[in-house]
Amino acid sequence: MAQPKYKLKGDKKSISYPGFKYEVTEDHLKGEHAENFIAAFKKLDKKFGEGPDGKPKPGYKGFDFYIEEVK
Amino acid sequence: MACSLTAVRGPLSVCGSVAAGLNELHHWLINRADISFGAISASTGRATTFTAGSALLPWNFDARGFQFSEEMTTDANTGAQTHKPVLTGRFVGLSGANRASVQQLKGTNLVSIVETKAGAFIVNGRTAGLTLDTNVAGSTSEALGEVVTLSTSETNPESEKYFELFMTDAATTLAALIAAE
Repeated sequence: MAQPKYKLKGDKKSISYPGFKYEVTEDHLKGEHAENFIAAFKKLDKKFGEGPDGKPKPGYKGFDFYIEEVK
Repeated sequence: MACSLTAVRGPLSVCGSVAAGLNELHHWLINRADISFGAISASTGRATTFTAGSALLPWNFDARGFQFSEEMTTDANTGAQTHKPVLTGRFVGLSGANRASVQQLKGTNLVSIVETKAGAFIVNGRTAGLTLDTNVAGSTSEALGEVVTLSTSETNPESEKYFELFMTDAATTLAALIAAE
């Protein structure tokens, strides 16, 4: 299986991502559907983390807060 | 000759009650021609994959009155058993935007994917497709706005029941659906 490209930041085991109903675990980001999670998070950031003008909402914690790239 | 039943069904293993209703925040529509699903398991009633040729369209009805039913009928002449799913949704208020939403549903042939409050992702319209079947607009407080039903046409019912989309777990399924928006 391919090496995971992303992981939960700070070696957390699970997170509650804003706007996502279910708990996301480190296994989700290691699994075959990891890319779906990444794409979903980016779409949720656009939906909930941006104002009507397209600028980030102050205080919103999204992708960069929860996820980091595996170096 | 009757079909033989070979499967068994064990006792209910769910502890406590099963949540009723649909999650109005997790409903998607897509043109039927643009989506296909993996094989539906005969034992679990689940498909574990889908391929969308265009974006899934989040289509959020109001929580009030958002419901699903499905009725099977047997053709008296041929014996064919077909299904009529009916998805009922409401846009609260009378407005140009709500009118436009109703108009957009006319003449469509859609597949609907909706999450139940119990966490199952239910797919309707795979074999024949759903379209705007009825629409009633009202101004009284108990019927304010637009009530629409998405269903099959009389001449083209679903040949199969609804099924469940289940990719590993509910989180993975939801992620795949949002990613496909």
